[in-house]
Amino acid sequence: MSIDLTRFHESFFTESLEGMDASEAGLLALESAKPTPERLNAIFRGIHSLKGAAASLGFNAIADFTHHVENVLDLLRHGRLLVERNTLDVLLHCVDYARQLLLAEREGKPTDTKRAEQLIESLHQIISTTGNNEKDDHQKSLPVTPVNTTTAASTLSLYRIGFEPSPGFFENGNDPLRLMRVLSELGRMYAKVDLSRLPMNEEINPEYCYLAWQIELTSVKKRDEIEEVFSWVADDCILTIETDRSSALPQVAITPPIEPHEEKRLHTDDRRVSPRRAKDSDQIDDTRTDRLHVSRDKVDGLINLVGELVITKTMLKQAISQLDPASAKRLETSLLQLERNTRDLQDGVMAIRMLPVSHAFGRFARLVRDVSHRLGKQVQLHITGEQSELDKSVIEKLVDPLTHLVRNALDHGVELPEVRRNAGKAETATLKLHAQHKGGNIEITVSDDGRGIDRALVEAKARSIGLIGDETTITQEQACELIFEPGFSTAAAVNDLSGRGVGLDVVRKNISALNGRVKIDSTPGRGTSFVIHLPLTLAIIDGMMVTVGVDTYIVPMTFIVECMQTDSRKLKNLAGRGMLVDFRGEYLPLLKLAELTDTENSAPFENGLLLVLETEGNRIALLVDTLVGQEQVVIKSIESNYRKVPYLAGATILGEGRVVLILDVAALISAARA
Amino acid sequence: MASILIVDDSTTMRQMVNFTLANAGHQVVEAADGNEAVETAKSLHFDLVISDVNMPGMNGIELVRVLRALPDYKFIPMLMLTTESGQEIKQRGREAGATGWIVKPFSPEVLLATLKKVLD
Repeated sequence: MSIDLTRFHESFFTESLEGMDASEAGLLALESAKPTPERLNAIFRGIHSLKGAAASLGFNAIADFTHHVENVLDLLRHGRLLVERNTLDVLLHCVDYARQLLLAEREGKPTDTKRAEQLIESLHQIISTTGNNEKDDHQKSLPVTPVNTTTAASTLSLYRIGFEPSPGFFENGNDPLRLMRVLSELGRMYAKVDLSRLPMNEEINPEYCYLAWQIELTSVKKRDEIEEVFSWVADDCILTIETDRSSALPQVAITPPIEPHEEKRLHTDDRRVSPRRAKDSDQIDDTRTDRLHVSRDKVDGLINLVGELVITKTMLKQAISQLDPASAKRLETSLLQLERNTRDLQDGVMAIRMLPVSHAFGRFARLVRDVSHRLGKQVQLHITGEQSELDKSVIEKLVDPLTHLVRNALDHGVELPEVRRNAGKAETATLKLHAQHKGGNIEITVSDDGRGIDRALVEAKARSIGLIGDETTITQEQACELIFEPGFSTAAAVNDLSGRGVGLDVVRKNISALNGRVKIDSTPGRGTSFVIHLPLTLAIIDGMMVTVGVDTYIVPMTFIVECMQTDSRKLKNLAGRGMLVDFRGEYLPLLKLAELTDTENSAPFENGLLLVLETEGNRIALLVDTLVGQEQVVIKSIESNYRKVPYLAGATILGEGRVVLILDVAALISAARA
Repeated sequence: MASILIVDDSTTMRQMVNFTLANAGHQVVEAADGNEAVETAKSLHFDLVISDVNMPGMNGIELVRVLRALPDYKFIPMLMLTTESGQEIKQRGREAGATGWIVKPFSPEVLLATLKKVLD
């Protein structure tokens, strides 16, 4: 076996993980929708493909495990088993475990074999406890499959067959493969090859048979029919057949296995996305059919090039403005065209990295289901606007804060069914996830119709941890702000869901890191909404160009609250706290940009401008000379081109070729308030 | 679609097998005795040889032995058509190199089912 299969590993992992997502989505859908043949088949296929590919690539643990899951799914799709809550639970756990196995293999880590045993045991129990289902409604909605000649009720048995052909097996014209193929037509078969006798060098004799197999065959056939397959070769091999009636399967009328030819195609089709999936699945597979897997580096490279193109175009424009009018005119027309092309190209390239938010929202169906069950609450999840698109890197970083907010809502926001009933609310709470484009940003809302934020509770807690004085009272709005403070959790007990000391402050930090912000809106007794605003991408930001002395800097727009005229009367000097600016009753630390950047000849206070900047609820006033204007700039990393520089978030190159630095507002604010 | 050589001194037998196999889409050539079979096997290539055991002149077991010695037929499946279901004949056949056997009389279905073990 000298073919190196590792080149197929990465795409196997990617496709298999996607397959697991699809199977999971399919299983979840079965809770509320009818179990149609298409849906059940789609779920089956995910596991079936995984098994085949895993077996071909030698990932035996995965192949073995998924084989058991596949058995149950096969019974489901042929109507031999009911779609029941417990069955779905076990199957969902199996999908989880399959994912774990894949990730473990990918990272070269060991796997939890005990878990596999537990799950397989559960799967066997499902098969043995689900008996006659002729009376059930579900049965009627599945296709009636033709019954073959053995119409009498038969018993399913599990045969464990050891087949070890002698080395000279081929000399009588026999081929183990053919015999096993005949065997596979007798039921559901799963074979594992034993390569132990295979010499891995020149000693190998192509006319000898070195292989052996361990076969599991689930079949209604009697043992002598199994033996008959090997009747010619009984003397030419070591054959052991064990009948396992302990995992006794119920009396059911069985039809012949429906797609024996599908087994043969196991090793070729299942590693690629096959066109079959598109036409015979429900909505489950529609996002998977015409996708390309492109490496992230390539896309990043493209985006970089487009950024360069934008700069070049601006340089050209400048150069043209220096020419004589006649030649300038002709060039200008061409340049306009180039501008159009560049803009289109830029949009197109940015679009490659954009993915629908559903990629972040997708996992919540499962999370809400599992957590609400665990908590004894009834919650229905509504997702809207999930087709809104967002840059891939932003989506990835959004998952953690969103998960936290959802768990928070389930844990603290949503009340228990009786509580809700007593309050005159519907017992089933509604949790909404909504995404919407607004301007150049995206707005994501996580809202519930639960108990809302209790102003009094927050006030008490804030006092107890010393955030506010014992006499200070707070408004509902202030309460909503306060819960973002670190260490703030009004949960009576820290449970493993959301209260492990990881509070909403972390959520806010994560969102800030994405150049975004999050706010809360809450009405006691009615519910709470968390609203997240994010720029569409991390690579391009809206920046305000400011000058200080002869230098220009860029301040990202998301942090700018307001711009004020300087007024010496509003300036206060407080011992121990430095200069403060009165901003409508709030005193903000004053930071002079000229001091930070060591710039000479900057404008004096009276001639400058103040930018009120905010992040994570904290504000400062930044003194600059002038505002030049707003620009959309491509952020280039200083760190990867030079090294990390404090207070700088990056740099950009303007049209005229100038490099302008971008300020790291969060760092500035932390420093100013320290 | 395979190339199959059927060897039997009974014309009826040959025709029945030919008909069944041809209907299943295979290409069939007939030989009436062992010597004819060997000559035909040398000049044409076959994926499968089916031969009666009891034939005048070279019997089926002899035939298998001769064919096995030919380089091109070292691993080609060869089936014997035998009237007896006794062990002895089967044993001798296997020792000569036969792949398996079909017991006469057999139905076309049995013949076709058996093909699965010897054809791809």
